[in-house]
Amino acid sequence: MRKSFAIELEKMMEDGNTFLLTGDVGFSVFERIRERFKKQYINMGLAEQNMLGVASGMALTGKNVFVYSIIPFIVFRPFEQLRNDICFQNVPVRLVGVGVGYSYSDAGFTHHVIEDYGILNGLPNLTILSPADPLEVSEQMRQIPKIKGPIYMRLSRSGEQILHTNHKNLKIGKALEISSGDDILFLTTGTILGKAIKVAELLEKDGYSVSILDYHTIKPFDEQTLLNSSANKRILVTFEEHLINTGLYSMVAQTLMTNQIYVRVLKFGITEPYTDLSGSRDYMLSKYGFSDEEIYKKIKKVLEE
Amino acid sequence: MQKLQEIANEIRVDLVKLHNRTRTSHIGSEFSAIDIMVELYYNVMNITPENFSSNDRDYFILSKGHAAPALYEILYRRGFFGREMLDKYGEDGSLLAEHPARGIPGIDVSTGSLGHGLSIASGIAYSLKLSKMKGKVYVLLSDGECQEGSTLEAANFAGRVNLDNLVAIIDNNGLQAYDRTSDIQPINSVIAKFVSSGWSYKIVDGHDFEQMGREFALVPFVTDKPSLLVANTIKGKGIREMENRIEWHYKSPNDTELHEFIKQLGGRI
Repeated sequence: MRKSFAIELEKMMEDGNTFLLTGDVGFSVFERIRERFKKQYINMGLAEQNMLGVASGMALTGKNVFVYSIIPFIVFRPFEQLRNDICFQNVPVRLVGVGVGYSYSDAGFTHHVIEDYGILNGLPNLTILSPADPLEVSEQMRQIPKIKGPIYMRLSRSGEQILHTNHKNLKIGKALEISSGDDILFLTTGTILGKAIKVAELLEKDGYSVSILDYHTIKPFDEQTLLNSSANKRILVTFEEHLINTGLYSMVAQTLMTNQIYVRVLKFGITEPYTDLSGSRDYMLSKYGFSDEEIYKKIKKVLEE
Repeated sequence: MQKLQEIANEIRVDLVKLHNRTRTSHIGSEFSAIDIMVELYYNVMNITPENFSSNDRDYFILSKGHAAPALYEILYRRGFFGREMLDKYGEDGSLLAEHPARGIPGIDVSTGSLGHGLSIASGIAYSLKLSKMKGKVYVLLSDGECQEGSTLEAANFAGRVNLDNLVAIIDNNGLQAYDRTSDIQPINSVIAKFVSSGWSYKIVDGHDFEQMGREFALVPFVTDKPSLLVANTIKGKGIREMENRIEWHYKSPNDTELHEFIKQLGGRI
Protein backbone atom coordinates (compact mmCIF):
# COMPACT_ATOMS: atom_id res chain seq x y z
CA MET A 1 0.00 0.00 0.00
CA ARG A 2 2.80 2.41 0.88
CA LYS A 3 4.45 1.69 -2.46
CA SER A 4 1.20 2.36 -4.36
CA PHE A 5 0.83 5.59 -2.46
CA ALA A 6 4.41 6.64 -3.25
CA ILE A 7 4.06 5.79 -6.96
CA GLU A 8 0.88 7.84 -7.37
CA LEU A 9 2.26 10.68 -5.29
CA GLU A 10 5.41 10.82 -7.41
CA LYS A 11 3.26 11.31 -10.51
CA MET A 12 1.27 14.03 -8.77
CA MET A 13 4.40 15.86 -7.67
CA GLU A 14 5.34 16.44 -11.28
CA ASP A 15 2.93 19.39 -11.17
CA GLY A 16 5.49 21.30 -9.08
CA ASN A 17 2.83 22.35 -6.57
CA THR A 18 2.41 19.10 -4.63
CA PHE A 19 4.47 18.71 -1.48
CA LEU A 20 5.29 15.83 0.84
CA LEU A 21 5.99 16.53 4.51
CA THR A 22 7.08 13.55 6.58
CA GLY A 23 7.68 12.98 10.26
CA ASP A 24 11.07 11.33 9.77
CA VAL A 25 9.65 8.09 8.39
CA GLY A 26 9.47 6.47 4.95
CA PHE A 27 12.77 4.59 4.65
CA SER A 28 12.66 2.43 1.47
CA VAL A 29 9.43 4.15 0.35
CA PHE A 30 10.30 7.73 -0.58
CA GLU A 31 13.84 7.47 -1.96
CA ARG A 32 12.79 8.27 -5.52
CA ILE A 33 10.65 11.22 -4.42
CA ARG A 34 13.46 12.57 -2.24
CA GLU A 35 15.82 12.35 -5.16
CA ARG A 36 13.51 13.75 -7.84
CA PHE A 37 11.72 16.51 -5.94
CA LYS A 38 14.26 18.00 -3.56
CA LYS A 39 12.23 21.18 -3.06
CA GLN A 40 8.88 19.48 -2.68
CA TYR A 41 9.91 16.87 -0.14
CA ILE A 42 10.74 17.90 3.39
CA ASN A 43 11.49 15.79 6.42
CA MET A 44 9.86 17.86 9.17
CA GLY A 45 11.59 15.85 11.87
CA LEU A 46 10.05 14.68 15.10
CA ALA A 47 7.76 17.64 15.47
CA GLU A 48 4.33 16.58 14.30
CA GLN A 49 2.35 19.46 15.78
CA ASN A 50 4.46 21.85 13.77
CA MET A 51 4.22 19.60 10.71
CA LEU A 52 0.44 19.88 10.66
CA GLY A 53 0.53 23.61 11.35
CA VAL A 54 3.01 24.22 8.54
CA ALA A 55 0.91 22.03 6.24
CA SER A 56 -2.11 24.17 7.08
CA GLY A 57 -0.23 27.39 6.30
CA MET A 58 1.05 26.01 3.00
CA ALA A 59 -2.39 24.77 1.98
CA LEU A 60 -3.95 28.12 2.94
CA THR A 61 -1.69 29.71 0.34
CA GLY A 62 -2.50 27.29 -2.46
CA LYS A 63 -0.09 24.38 -2.08
CA ASN A 64 -1.23 20.77 -2.40
CA VAL A 65 0.24 19.23 0.74
CA PHE A 66 0.58 15.59 1.75
CA VAL A 67 1.60 14.80 5.31
CA TYR A 68 2.88 11.31 6.05
CA SER A 69 3.78 9.43 9.20
CA ILE A 70 2.83 6.46 11.33
CA ILE A 71 -0.80 7.03 12.30
CA PRO A 72 -0.50 7.75 16.04
CA PHE A 73 1.98 10.51 15.31
CA ILE A 74 -0.17 12.39 12.81
CA VAL A 75 -3.56 11.74 14.39
CA PHE A 76 -3.24 11.37 18.14
CA ARG A 77 -0.20 13.54 18.93
CA PRO A 78 -1.22 16.65 16.96
CA PHE A 79 -4.97 16.18 17.25
CA GLU A 80 -5.69 19.81 18.04
CA GLN A 81 -3.71 21.03 15.03
CA LEU A 82 -5.75 18.62 12.91
CA ARG A 83 -8.97 19.90 14.46
CA ASN A 84 -8.31 23.65 14.50
CA ASP A 85 -5.76 24.34 11.79
CA ILE A 86 -6.86 21.83 9.17
CA CYS A 87 -10.45 20.62 9.62
CA PHE A 88 -12.09 23.69 11.12
CA GLN A 89 -10.40 25.92 8.55
CA ASN A 90 -11.26 23.39 5.85
CA VAL A 91 -7.91 23.47 4.11
CA PRO A 92 -6.92 20.77 1.60
CA VAL A 93 -4.21 19.01 3.61
CA ARG A 94 -3.92 15.30 2.82
CA LEU A 95 -2.84 13.22 5.79
CA VAL A 96 -1.63 9.77 4.98
CA GLY A 97 -0.97 7.47 7.91
CA VAL A 98 0.51 4.02 7.99
CA GLY A 99 -0.25 1.29 10.50
CA VAL A 100 -3.99 0.59 10.71
CA GLY A 101 -5.15 -1.84 13.36
CA TYR A 102 -2.40 -4.22 14.37
CA SER A 103 -0.16 -3.60 11.33
CA TYR A 104 2.53 -2.77 13.87
CA SER A 105 1.34 -5.59 16.10
CA ASP A 106 4.60 -6.43 17.83
CA ALA A 107 5.57 -2.78 18.27
CA GLY A 108 3.25 -2.58 21.25
CA PHE A 109 0.29 -0.48 22.30
CA THR A 110 1.77 2.90 21.30
CA HIS A 111 1.80 1.84 17.64
CA HIS A 112 -1.58 0.12 17.49
CA VAL A 113 -4.35 2.02 15.73
CA ILE A 114 -7.74 0.71 16.74
CA GLU A 115 -9.57 3.97 17.42
CA ASP A 116 -8.59 6.39 14.64
CA TYR A 117 -11.76 6.75 12.61
CA GLY A 118 -13.87 6.51 15.74
CA ILE A 119 -12.20 9.69 16.90
CA LEU A 120 -11.89 11.38 13.52
CA ASN A 121 -15.52 10.87 12.59
CA GLY A 122 -16.26 13.84 14.84
CA LEU A 123 -14.18 16.27 12.80
CA PRO A 124 -15.98 18.57 10.40
CA ASN A 125 -15.01 18.66 6.70
CA LEU A 126 -12.66 15.66 6.92
CA THR A 127 -12.88 12.86 4.35
CA ILE A 128 -11.69 9.53 5.78
CA LEU A 129 -10.35 6.93 3.36
CA SER A 130 -9.77 3.34 4.43
CA PRO A 131 -8.61 1.40 1.37
CA ALA A 132 -8.59 -2.40 1.34
CA ASP A 133 -5.72 -3.14 -1.02
CA PRO A 134 -2.92 -1.48 -3.03
CA LEU A 135 -5.06 -0.92 -6.13
CA GLU A 136 -7.67 0.87 -4.06
CA VAL A 137 -4.92 3.18 -2.81
CA SER A 138 -3.92 3.99 -6.38
CA GLU A 139 -7.51 4.61 -7.43
CA GLN A 140 -8.21 6.84 -4.44
CA MET A 141 -4.99 8.78 -5.01
CA ARG A 142 -6.12 9.55 -8.55
CA GLN A 143 -9.43 10.92 -7.22
CA ILE A 144 -7.98 12.92 -4.32
CA PRO A 145 -7.28 16.11 -6.34
CA LYS A 146 -11.03 16.51 -6.87
CA ILE A 147 -11.63 16.82 -3.12
CA LYS A 148 -11.38 20.40 -1.89
CA GLY A 149 -11.28 19.77 1.86
CA PRO A 150 -8.93 17.85 4.18
CA ILE A 151 -8.41 14.10 3.78
CA TYR A 152 -7.11 11.36 6.03
CA MET A 153 -6.05 8.14 4.33
CA ARG A 154 -5.22 5.15 6.55
CA LEU A 155 -2.85 2.53 5.22
CA SER A 156 -1.71 -0.87 6.31
CA ARG A 157 1.99 -1.45 6.74
CA SER A 158 3.19 -3.86 4.05
CA GLY A 159 2.58 -7.11 2.18
CA GLU A 160 -1.06 -6.39 1.28
CA GLN A 161 -2.63 -8.59 -1.38
CA ILE A 162 -4.86 -7.40 -4.20
CA LEU A 163 -8.27 -8.53 -3.02
CA HIS A 164 -10.70 -8.03 -5.87
CA THR A 165 -11.11 -6.98 -9.50
CA ASN A 166 -13.65 -4.21 -9.20
CA HIS A 167 -11.29 -1.24 -8.76
CA LYS A 168 -12.47 0.59 -11.85
CA ASN A 169 -15.82 1.14 -10.11
CA LEU A 170 -14.31 2.64 -6.97
CA LYS A 171 -15.63 6.11 -6.23
CA ILE A 172 -14.66 8.01 -3.12
CA GLY A 173 -17.76 8.47 -1.00
CA LYS A 174 -19.55 5.40 -2.30
CA ALA A 175 -19.31 1.87 -0.87
CA LEU A 176 -17.99 -0.60 -3.43
CA GLU A 177 -19.81 -3.84 -4.10
CA ILE A 178 -17.31 -6.71 -4.14
CA SER A 179 -19.87 -9.46 -4.58
CA SER A 180 -23.62 -9.66 -4.53
CA GLY A 181 -25.86 -12.23 -2.92
CA ASP A 182 -29.28 -12.59 -1.32
CA ASP A 183 -28.87 -14.01 2.17
CA ILE A 184 -26.15 -12.18 4.00
CA LEU A 185 -24.61 -8.71 3.74
CA PHE A 186 -20.97 -8.21 4.79
CA LEU A 187 -19.77 -4.68 5.49
CA THR A 188 -16.05 -4.16 5.80
CA THR A 189 -13.45 -1.43 5.82
CA GLY A 190 -9.70 -1.61 5.22
CA THR A 191 -7.58 -4.69 4.59
CA ILE A 192 -9.86 -6.86 6.71
CA LEU A 193 -11.85 -7.24 3.48
CA GLY A 194 -9.51 -10.19 2.78
CA LYS A 195 -10.94 -12.10 5.75
CA ALA A 196 -14.49 -11.24 4.80
CA ILE A 197 -13.96 -12.66 1.32
CA LYS A 198 -12.60 -15.93 2.75
CA VAL A 199 -15.52 -16.33 5.12
CA ALA A 200 -17.94 -15.56 2.30
CA GLU A 201 -16.39 -18.35 0.26
CA LEU A 202 -16.94 -20.83 3.10
CA LEU A 203 -20.54 -19.76 3.46
CA GLU A 204 -21.11 -19.99 -0.29
CA LYS A 205 -19.96 -23.62 -0.12
CA ASP A 206 -22.66 -24.18 2.48
CA GLY A 207 -25.24 -22.81 0.08
CA TYR A 208 -25.61 -19.21 1.33
CA SER A 209 -25.14 -16.27 -0.98
CA VAL A 210 -23.24 -13.27 0.34
CA SER A 211 -23.11 -9.60 -0.63
CA ILE A 212 -19.94 -7.75 0.33
CA LEU A 213 -19.77 -3.98 0.59
CA ASP A 214 -16.32 -2.42 0.90
CA TYR A 215 -16.39 0.85 2.83
CA HIS A 216 -13.15 2.24 1.44
CA THR A 217 -14.59 5.64 2.39
CA ILE A 218 -15.57 5.90 6.04
CA LYS A 219 -16.54 9.56 5.98
CA PRO A 220 -18.78 10.73 4.44
CA PHE A 221 -20.49 7.47 5.29
CA ASP A 222 -22.47 6.07 2.36
CA GLU A 223 -25.81 5.39 4.01
CA GLN A 224 -27.77 4.93 0.83
CA THR A 225 -25.87 1.89 -0.43
CA LEU A 226 -26.22 0.28 2.98
CA LEU A 227 -29.96 0.90 2.99
CA ASN A 228 -30.38 -0.40 -0.55
CA SER A 229 -28.29 -3.50 0.09
CA SER A 230 -29.69 -4.46 3.47
CA ALA A 231 -33.22 -5.00 2.20
CA ASN A 232 -34.35 -8.61 2.62
CA LYS A 233 -31.05 -9.87 4.03
CA ARG A 234 -31.22 -12.44 6.81
CA ILE A 235 -28.26 -10.97 8.64
CA LEU A 236 -25.69 -8.23 8.32
CA VAL A 237 -22.09 -8.69 9.45
CA THR A 238 -19.57 -5.92 10.07
CA PHE A 239 -15.81 -6.46 9.88
CA GLU A 240 -13.23 -4.01 11.11
CA GLU A 241 -9.76 -3.93 12.60
CA HIS A 242 -10.92 -1.15 14.92
CA LEU A 243 -12.93 -0.81 18.09
CA ILE A 244 -16.50 -1.93 17.47
CA ASN A 245 -17.75 0.82 19.73
CA THR A 246 -17.33 4.02 17.64
CA GLY A 247 -16.49 1.86 14.62
CA LEU A 248 -18.10 0.76 11.37
CA TYR A 249 -20.60 -1.26 13.40
CA SER A 250 -21.73 1.88 15.21
CA MET A 251 -22.25 3.72 11.93
CA VAL A 252 -24.16 0.80 10.43
CA ALA A 253 -26.33 0.34 13.50
CA GLN A 254 -27.11 4.04 13.69
CA THR A 255 -28.07 4.21 10.03
CA LEU A 256 -30.34 1.19 10.29
CA MET A 257 -31.98 2.46 13.45
CA THR A 258 -32.55 5.94 12.05
CA ASN A 259 -34.22 4.43 9.01
CA GLN A 260 -36.27 1.96 11.05
CA ILE A 261 -34.70 -1.11 9.50
CA TYR A 262 -34.64 -3.90 12.05
CA VAL A 263 -32.24 -6.63 11.08
CA ARG A 264 -29.81 -8.80 12.99
CA VAL A 265 -26.26 -7.41 12.86
CA LEU A 266 -23.23 -9.46 13.87
CA LYS A 267 -20.11 -7.50 14.63
CA PHE A 268 -16.46 -8.47 14.36
CA GLY A 269 -13.91 -5.96 15.52
CA ILE A 270 -11.68 -5.12 18.44
CA THR A 271 -13.32 -5.33 21.82
CA GLU A 272 -10.42 -4.72 24.17
CA PRO A 273 -8.71 -1.38 23.70
CA TYR A 274 -5.70 -1.96 25.93
CA THR A 275 -3.38 -4.61 24.64
CA ASP A 276 -0.87 -5.97 27.08
CA LEU A 277 0.59 -8.79 24.99
CA SER A 278 2.70 -8.74 21.86
CA GLY A 279 2.60 -10.96 18.79
CA SER A 280 1.74 -11.25 15.11
CA ARG A 281 -1.12 -9.32 13.54
CA ASP A 282 -3.30 -12.44 13.40
CA TYR A 283 -2.49 -13.34 16.97
CA MET A 284 -3.40 -9.87 18.20
CA LEU A 285 -6.62 -9.88 16.20
CA SER A 286 -7.70 -13.23 17.60
CA LYS A 287 -6.66 -12.29 21.12
CA TYR A 288 -8.33 -8.87 21.28
CA GLY A 289 -10.92 -9.17 18.56
CA PHE A 290 -11.88 -12.27 16.65
CA SER A 291 -10.35 -15.32 14.99
CA ASP A 292 -11.08 -16.56 11.48
CA GLU A 293 -12.74 -19.76 12.72
CA GLU A 294 -14.86 -17.79 15.14
CA ILE A 295 -16.36 -15.64 12.40
CA TYR A 296 -17.53 -18.57 10.32
CA LYS A 297 -18.87 -20.51 13.32
CA LYS A 298 -20.76 -17.55 14.77
CA ILE A 299 -22.38 -16.66 11.48
CA LYS A 300 -23.32 -20.29 10.81
CA LYS A 301 -24.85 -20.60 14.25
CA VAL A 302 -27.07 -17.57 13.72
CA LEU A 303 -28.10 -18.75 10.27
CA GLU A 304 -29.10 -22.14 11.64
CA GLU A 305 -31.11 -20.75 14.57
CA MET B 1 -2.64 60.85 8.82
CA GLN B 2 -3.85 60.73 12.38
CA LYS B 3 -1.04 60.01 14.80
CA LEU B 4 -0.73 56.33 15.71
CA GLN B 5 -0.84 57.19 19.39
CA GLU B 6 -4.20 58.89 18.93
CA ILE B 7 -5.58 55.99 16.94
CA ALA B 8 -4.48 53.51 19.60
CA ASN B 9 -6.03 55.68 22.27
CA GLU B 10 -9.30 55.92 20.41
CA ILE B 11 -9.34 52.13 20.10
CA ARG B 12 -8.66 51.75 23.83
CA VAL B 13 -11.66 53.97 24.56
CA ASP B 14 -13.80 51.85 22.24
CA LEU B 15 -12.57 48.65 23.87
CA VAL B 16 -13.43 49.91 27.35
CA LYS B 17 -16.97 50.51 26.09
CA LEU B 18 -17.10 47.20 24.27
CA HIS B 19 -16.04 45.20 27.32
CA ASN B 20 -18.37 47.16 29.58
CA ARG B 21 -21.23 46.39 27.22
CA THR B 22 -20.43 42.73 26.60
CA ARG B 23 -18.80 41.79 29.93
CA THR B 24 -16.21 39.74 28.07
CA SER B 25 -12.61 39.10 29.20
CA HIS B 26 -9.04 39.82 28.07
CA ILE B 27 -9.04 43.62 27.93
CA GLY B 28 -5.66 43.64 29.71
CA SER B 29 -4.13 41.47 26.98
CA GLU B 30 -5.61 43.70 24.31
CA PHE B 31 -4.15 46.83 25.87
CA SER B 32 -0.66 45.36 25.90
CA ALA B 33 -0.92 44.32 22.24
CA ILE B 34 -2.88 47.20 20.71
CA ASP B 35 0.05 49.53 20.00
CA ILE B 36 1.94 46.75 18.22
CA MET B 37 -1.05 45.97 16.02
CA VAL B 38 -1.74 49.64 15.24
CA GLU B 39 1.89 50.08 14.23
CA LEU B 40 1.70 47.01 11.99
CA TYR B 41 -1.61 47.81 10.30
CA TYR B 42 -1.06 51.56 9.87
CA ASN B 43 2.65 51.79 9.27
CA VAL B 44 4.23 48.47 8.34
CA MET B 45 2.10 45.85 6.64
CA ASN B 46 0.65 45.76 3.17
CA ILE B 47 -2.77 44.23 3.88
CA THR B 48 -5.87 45.96 2.59
CA PRO B 49 -9.44 44.92 1.83
CA GLU B 50 -8.50 45.27 -1.84
CA ASN B 51 -5.48 42.95 -1.86
CA PHE B 52 -6.75 40.51 0.78
CA SER B 53 -7.89 37.85 -1.68
CA SER B 54 -4.48 37.71 -3.36
CA ASN B 55 -1.27 36.08 -2.10
CA ASP B 56 0.78 39.07 -3.21
CA ARG B 57 0.69 40.92 0.12
CA ASP B 58 1.70 40.60 3.76
CA TYR B 59 0.01 38.28 6.25
CA PHE B 60 -0.86 38.80 9.91
CA ILE B 61 -1.68 36.06 12.39
CA LEU B 62 -2.89 36.86 15.87
CA SER B 63 -1.53 33.78 17.57
CA LYS B 64 -2.62 35.18 20.93
CA GLY B 65 -6.19 34.99 19.69
CA HIS B 66 -7.66 36.25 22.95
CA ALA B 67 -6.77 39.82 21.95
CA ALA B 68 -9.21 39.54 19.03
CA PRO B 69 -11.45 42.53 19.88
CA ALA B 70 -8.45 44.84 19.49
CA LEU B 71 -7.85 43.36 16.05
CA TYR B 72 -11.54 43.73 15.15
CA GLU B 73 -11.35 47.42 16.05
CA ILE B 74 -8.42 47.83 13.68
CA LEU B 75 -9.97 45.80 10.85
CA TYR B 76 -13.11 47.91 11.12
CA ARG B 77 -11.06 51.12 10.94
CA ARG B 78 -9.08 49.78 7.97
CA GLY B 79 -12.31 49.14 6.07
CA PHE B 80 -12.52 45.34 6.22
CA PHE B 81 -16.05 45.49 7.64
CA GLY B 82 -18.58 48.02 8.83
CA ARG B 83 -19.43 49.46 12.23
CA GLU B 84 -22.60 47.40 12.34
CA MET B 85 -20.64 44.16 12.27
CA LEU B 86 -18.25 45.38 14.97
CA ASP B 87 -21.12 46.46 17.19
CA LYS B 88 -22.60 42.99 17.01
CA TYR B 89 -19.59 41.64 18.94
CA GLY B 90 -20.82 39.70 21.96
CA GLU B 91 -24.34 39.31 20.59
CA ASP B 92 -26.10 36.16 19.49
CA GLY B 93 -25.29 35.27 15.91
CA SER B 94 -22.22 37.50 15.66
CA LEU B 95 -19.39 36.36 13.41
CA LEU B 96 -16.98 38.01 15.82
CA ALA B 97 -16.17 35.71 18.72
CA GLU B 98 -13.71 36.29 21.56
CA HIS B 99 -11.13 34.55 19.38
CA PRO B 100 -10.80 35.28 15.66
CA ALA B 101 -11.88 32.86 12.95
CA ARG B 102 -11.08 32.49 9.29
CA GLY B 103 -14.07 33.75 7.36
CA ILE B 104 -14.19 37.12 9.09
CA PRO B 105 -13.09 39.73 6.54
CA GLY B 106 -9.40 40.41 7.20
CA ILE B 107 -8.72 37.23 9.19
CA ASP B 108 -6.52 34.63 7.49
CA VAL B 109 -6.15 32.12 10.29
CA SER B 110 -8.39 30.92 13.11
CA THR B 111 -6.66 31.06 16.46
CA GLY B 112 -7.56 30.79 20.12
CA SER B 113 -5.61 27.76 21.21
CA LEU B 114 -2.11 28.97 22.01
CA GLY B 115 0.92 27.49 20.27
CA HIS B 116 -0.60 27.11 16.80
CA GLY B 117 0.15 30.47 15.20
CA LEU B 118 3.89 30.23 14.65
CA SER B 119 3.62 26.91 12.77
CA ILE B 120 0.90 28.19 10.46
CA ALA B 121 2.79 31.45 9.96
CA SER B 122 5.90 29.42 9.09
CA GLY B 123 3.90 27.37 6.59
CA ILE B 124 2.60 30.53 4.94
CA ALA B 125 6.04 32.16 4.91
CA TYR B 126 7.59 29.01 3.47
CA SER B 127 4.90 28.81 0.82
CA LEU B 128 5.32 32.49 -0.15
CA LYS B 129 9.06 31.99 -0.55
CA LEU B 130 8.53 28.92 -2.72
CA SER B 131 6.23 31.00 -4.94
CA LYS B 132 8.74 33.87 -4.96
CA MET B 133 6.23 36.25 -3.39
CA LYS B 134 7.61 39.34 -1.72
CA GLY B 135 5.15 39.48 1.18
CA LYS B 136 6.14 39.06 4.81
CA VAL B 137 4.33 37.13 7.50
CA TYR B 138 3.84 38.81 10.88
CA VAL B 139 2.71 36.73 13.82
CA LEU B 140 1.92 38.11 17.25
CA LEU B 141 2.63 35.69 20.10
CA SER B 142 1.96 36.02 23.79
CA ASP B 143 4.94 35.53 26.07
CA GLY B 144 3.07 32.71 27.81
CA GLU B 145 2.50 30.75 24.64
CA CYS B 146 6.23 30.32 24.16
CA GLN B 147 5.84 27.63 26.82
CA GLU B 148 3.98 25.52 24.26
CA GLY B 149 6.27 22.90 22.76
CA SER B 150 4.72 23.47 19.35
CA THR B 151 5.95 27.09 19.39
CA LEU B 152 9.49 25.82 19.79
CA GLU B 153 8.99 23.17 17.10
CA ALA B 154 7.96 25.98 14.78
CA ALA B 155 10.90 28.18 15.83
CA ASN B 156 13.23 25.33 14.94
CA PHE B 157 11.61 24.83 11.53
CA ALA B 158 11.61 28.53 10.64
CA GLY B 159 15.29 28.82 11.51
CA ARG B 160 16.20 25.69 9.63
CA VAL B 161 14.59 26.77 6.36
CA ASN B 162 15.76 30.40 6.65
CA LEU B 163 12.40 32.13 6.73
CA ASP B 164 13.71 35.68 6.42
CA ASN B 165 10.18 36.76 5.48
CA LEU B 166 8.82 35.73 8.88
CA VAL B 167 8.53 38.15 11.79
CA ALA B 168 7.43 36.91 15.19
CA ILE B 169 6.53 39.55 17.74
CA ILE B 170 6.28 38.51 21.37
CA ASP B 171 3.92 40.65 23.41
CA ASN B 172 6.12 40.46 26.49
CA ASN B 173 3.69 41.77 29.09
CA GLY B 174 5.08 39.49 31.78
CA LEU B 175 1.73 38.17 32.96
CA GLN B 176 -0.04 35.01 31.95
CA ALA B 177 -3.45 33.75 32.98
CA TYR B 178 -2.61 32.82 36.56
CA ASP B 179 1.03 33.75 37.23
CA ARG B 180 3.94 35.93 36.30
CA THR B 181 5.48 34.57 33.11
CA SER B 182 8.96 34.95 34.57
CA ASP B 183 8.08 32.42 37.28
CA ILE B 184 7.27 29.82 34.63
CA GLN B 185 9.67 30.52 31.77
CA PRO B 186 11.68 33.75 31.77
CA ILE B 187 11.82 35.67 28.49
CA ASN B 188 15.60 35.21 28.29
CA SER B 189 15.07 31.48 28.11
CA VAL B 190 12.64 32.01 25.23
CA ILE B 191 15.03 34.31 23.38
CA ALA B 192 17.89 31.84 23.84
CA LYS B 193 15.80 29.05 22.33
CA PHE B 194 14.85 31.14 19.29
CA VAL B 195 18.40 32.34 18.78
CA SER B 196 19.84 28.83 19.03
CA SER B 197 17.24 27.77 16.45
CA GLY B 198 18.65 30.27 13.97
CA TRP B 199 16.67 33.45 14.61
CA SER B 200 17.88 37.01 14.91
CA TYR B 201 16.20 39.20 17.51
CA LYS B 202 15.70 42.70 18.83
CA ILE B 203 14.03 44.11 21.88
CA VAL B 204 11.77 47.16 21.72
CA ASP B 205 9.34 49.09 23.81
CA GLY B 206 6.02 47.75 22.53
CA HIS B 207 4.30 51.06 23.30
CA ASP B 208 6.83 53.25 21.47
CA PHE B 209 5.68 53.66 17.88
CA GLU B 210 8.84 55.35 16.72
CA GLN B 211 11.06 52.59 18.06
CA MET B 212 8.86 49.85 16.65
CA GLY B 213 8.72 51.57 13.27
CA ARG B 214 12.51 51.78 13.16
CA GLU B 215 12.97 48.08 13.92
CA PHE B 216 10.23 46.79 11.63
CA ALA B 217 11.90 48.71 8.79
CA LEU B 218 15.07 46.66 9.35
CA VAL B 219 13.43 43.25 8.87
CA PRO B 220 15.04 40.81 8.30
CA PHE B 221 17.38 41.83 11.09
CA VAL B 222 19.99 39.42 9.73
CA THR B 223 20.14 38.10 6.17
CA ASP B 224 18.49 34.67 5.74
CA LYS B 225 17.19 34.52 9.30
CA PRO B 226 13.68 34.82 10.68
CA SER B 227 13.23 37.87 12.90
CA LEU B 228 12.05 37.90 16.49
CA LEU B 229 10.92 41.19 17.96
CA VAL B 230 10.50 41.06 21.72
CA ALA B 231 8.12 43.89 22.49
CA ASN B 232 8.24 44.83 26.15
CA THR B 233 4.72 45.82 27.08
CA ILE B 234 2.47 46.44 30.04
CA LYS B 235 -0.66 44.41 30.49
CA GLY B 236 -3.57 46.86 30.74
CA LYS B 237 -1.38 49.71 29.39
CA GLY B 238 -3.07 53.09 29.61
CA ILE B 239 -5.29 52.58 32.66
CA ARG B 240 -3.65 52.96 36.09
CA GLU B 241 -5.96 50.48 37.80
CA MET B 242 -5.42 47.90 35.09
CA GLU B 243 -1.70 48.09 34.47
CA ASN B 244 0.24 44.98 35.46
CA ARG B 245 -2.70 43.43 37.23
CA ILE B 246 -3.54 39.81 36.54
CA GLU B 247 -7.27 40.18 37.25
CA TRP B 248 -7.65 42.25 34.08
CA HIS B 249 -7.02 39.10 32.11
CA TYR B 250 -10.58 38.28 33.16
CA LYS B 251 -12.45 41.37 34.33
CA SER B 252 -14.50 43.78 32.32
CA PRO B 253 -15.08 47.40 33.37
CA ASN B 254 -18.26 48.01 35.39
CA ASP B 255 -20.24 51.21 34.89
CA THR B 256 -18.19 53.26 37.39
CA GLU B 257 -14.95 52.03 35.89
CA LEU B 258 -16.28 52.76 32.41
CA HIS B 259 -16.46 56.49 33.20
CA GLU B 260 -13.22 56.56 35.13
CA PHE B 261 -11.21 54.69 32.47
CA ILE B 262 -12.53 56.73 29.59
CA LYS B 263 -11.68 59.91 31.52
CA GLN B 264 -8.13 58.66 32.00
CA LEU B 265 -7.87 57.98 28.30
CA GLY B 266 -9.19 61.45 27.55
CA GLY B 267 -12.11 60.05 25.63
CA ARG B 268 -15.84 60.66 25.66
CA ILE B 269 -18.67 58.31 26.58
